[in-house]
Order: sequence, then structure tokens, then C-alpha cells
Amino acid sequence: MKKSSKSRRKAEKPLNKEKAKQYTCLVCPLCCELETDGAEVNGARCSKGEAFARQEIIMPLRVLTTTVRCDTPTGTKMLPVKTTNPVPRHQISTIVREIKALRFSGIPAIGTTISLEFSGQPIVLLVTGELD
Amino acid sequence: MIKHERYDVIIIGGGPAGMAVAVGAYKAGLRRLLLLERHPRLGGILNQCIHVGFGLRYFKEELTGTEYAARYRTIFDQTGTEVKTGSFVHQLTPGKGVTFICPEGEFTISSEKIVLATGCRERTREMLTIPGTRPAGIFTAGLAQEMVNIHGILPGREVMVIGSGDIGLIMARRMTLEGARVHAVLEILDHLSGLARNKIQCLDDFGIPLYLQHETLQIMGKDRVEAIRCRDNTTGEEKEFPCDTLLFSVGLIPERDLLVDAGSEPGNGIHLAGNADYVHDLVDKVTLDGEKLGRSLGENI
Repeated sequence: MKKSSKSRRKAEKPLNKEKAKQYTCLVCPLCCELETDGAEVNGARCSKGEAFARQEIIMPLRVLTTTVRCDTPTGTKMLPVKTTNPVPRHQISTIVREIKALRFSGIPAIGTTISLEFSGQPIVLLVTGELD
Repeated sequence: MIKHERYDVIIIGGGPAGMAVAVGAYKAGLRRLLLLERHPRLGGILNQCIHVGFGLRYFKEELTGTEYAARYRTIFDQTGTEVKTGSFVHQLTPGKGVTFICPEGEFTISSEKIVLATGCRERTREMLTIPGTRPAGIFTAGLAQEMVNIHGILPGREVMVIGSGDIGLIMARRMTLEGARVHAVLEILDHLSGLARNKIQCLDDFGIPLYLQHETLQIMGKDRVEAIRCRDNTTGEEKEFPCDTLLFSVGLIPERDLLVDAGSEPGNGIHLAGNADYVHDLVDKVTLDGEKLGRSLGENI
């Protein structure tokens, strides 16, 4: 018999209520409602969710996806890319501007990585799509 | 041009559902498989889904839609299914076959088993019967997604999203990242239509407000959208939002026009796969359902 998802949640741990914050988990479509004080996490059904909450309270990170223009003999094509690691949420709008300023000649293959530098921090882009 | 006169299965649609049916049928021992796709490429709507959130269940890894398509394509390619792209099926005869047009002409091919893997279509402004003018600047969210992600065209600058479906939420973020200003998402119901995670990472992260129980009353504008008028159904207060672009994300409908035109129902050798059967929330489930259907086709031949 399939266990109900609720039963897979771990027992509630005591939290420091003054520091505690609530989040909706972004790891998977289950969207667990999490509460954390930075140390303990309640409401997660998996360890990835617990790690998400501990990170979210310090500095939210997101995988950034966008497209880069590629010049080809048959015209400009949009190449989908993502950051290989999640980037700080507050930097997304500036990082995306840097990526949008890129322009490739030809089409890099899916799985190709492109290293960039943003304010001294390395950012690696991964090509996520195949174009004709 | 086509290898066989008869096929074990003809699959209409080369998105995730169609490819999955071929994989399932191959596993069940069927070898004469034909897949017809109207676009030049396989992958369907996955090709315009550049965001992450796909594959956690099937590949146990978070992928973009485009990565999911490429990854599944390698599995599909092992089936040796005959693929005919640029081929548009316009007629279906239950139990007999299909007729399609392609650059080489029009052809009729026979098979006792036909699978509609034709996906679903977005509901439009017309289906909601919203009063007002008919200016330029009104798009479904999925169309805007294709324009931005595949063609590199930004549909507009001052955007309102009508309906809180997942594609609308995803496009609110996407348009923001591309430099547009998304003023708000209006939802007539008292709850979000899409996933909670998409409200957070697509709206909250970018400070885009979601207004629940807001009914769109009128679209204004002569040549281009100029504003919309809506009503907060909790207070009765009416508001006007100036904008030049409207994105509709108000539901999806399984695409079965071929079946309707044939005056037929599923059964009698006609099968529905993926979103043509019912609208799935995750592509992983489309793949699993499609493979299951494909296997069942081999078992009762």
C-alpha cells in the first residue's frame, strides 16, 4: 500500500520561534511547507528540502535559465542555457543582463559549458538545448 | 518515402507522449512503428520549455524541458521508429489509417492501431468571452513562450497576465527577465491554478502581485491593447490597469479534433496518449503513461 505523503514527514522538532521563518519548498512539485530557524527544519519530506530551507534563510539561490543569441548562416537562433549551479536570487536581474549581452557564432552543442565571470565570481553556463 | 504499406502502430505527434508510446510498443515487441510530426523537430512543447522542473521522477534529476526532450530522444532513437517530420495528419479513419500532407505530397497509410499524441491547446480570450475591442497585443502564455524562447521576439513591454496557470506564471518571470514589466497576474478563482512553487519562484521572487478573485471585465485599445478593466469580486471595486500586452493562462484542452472530425470516439483501434487523453501536470507522468499505453498495444495484437 502506498503511504500517504503526510506520513513520510518527520516528527516536529522544537524551533527557536523568534528566528523561525516559513518557506514553500522549491525542490520538487510536492511544494512542502517548511519552517526553519536556520538549524532545525520542520515540514520537509526529504533531506533536499531540509537543505533548501537552511539555504533559503541565509541567502536564497535559484537556477537561472535564459537564452543566448547564436548567429548562424540561416539566421539568428535562440540557444537555451542554464547556470550549472544556483545563483544568488538578488543577483539574478544583473546576471541575466550579462548573459543576454553574449552572442555566439555558430551553435554550441547541448552539454557545452561556458565560463563567465560576474563581479569576480565564476558562473558556468550549460547549454540545455539542441538547435537545428 | 515510407518504408511499409502497413504499420503495427501509427503515432500522431512527436512530443513526449508520442515518443513514449513508441518506446512502450517497441518494448512489447512491435517493430513497424510510424510517428508523424507536423513540426520539423521532435520534442513538442518541451522545446520551448527552457525552465527547470522536469525529469525529477523519470530521470531522478532536475532538468529543463529542452534537456528532458534531448535525454528522452536518445531512448526513443533506440526503437528504430520511422519518423516523418513536417507531416500534418488531416484525416483519420478508425481501424484503417490516416491521411497526411508533407512536402512530398499527400499520403494515406494504413494501420489498425492509431495513437493520438496530439497534446493539448490553450484556451483563448475568445473562449472566455471577455468584452471589449480586439486590438493587437493579446497572446496565450504558451504562444508568448514560443515567441520569446524560440524566436527571440518579446511580445510586449507592459504586461498583464490573465489566469494563474503554470505557463502564465513561468512567462511572468520570463518576460521580466527579458526586460518587460509584468504588472500583475489576475485570477478569477479564490486560489492559484498553478503550482505553489511557481508562484514563489516566478512571482514573489520578482515582486509581481497575484490578485485572486479578480474578474477581467473589459479589454481596451484601438490598434494595440491600452488597458484592461477588472473587478475585485470580494469588494466589488473596479480597477483599471494600463498595459500593452495581455497573456492568457486560463486552462488547457486536450486536442482531439481529428477524432471529432471522423465522428469517432476512442476505442475501435484509436488510442489517446498524454495530454490528448487528459491534461497532465508533469511531463514525467506523460512519459510513464505513454510507455504503458505503448506496451499494452503490443500485448493485445
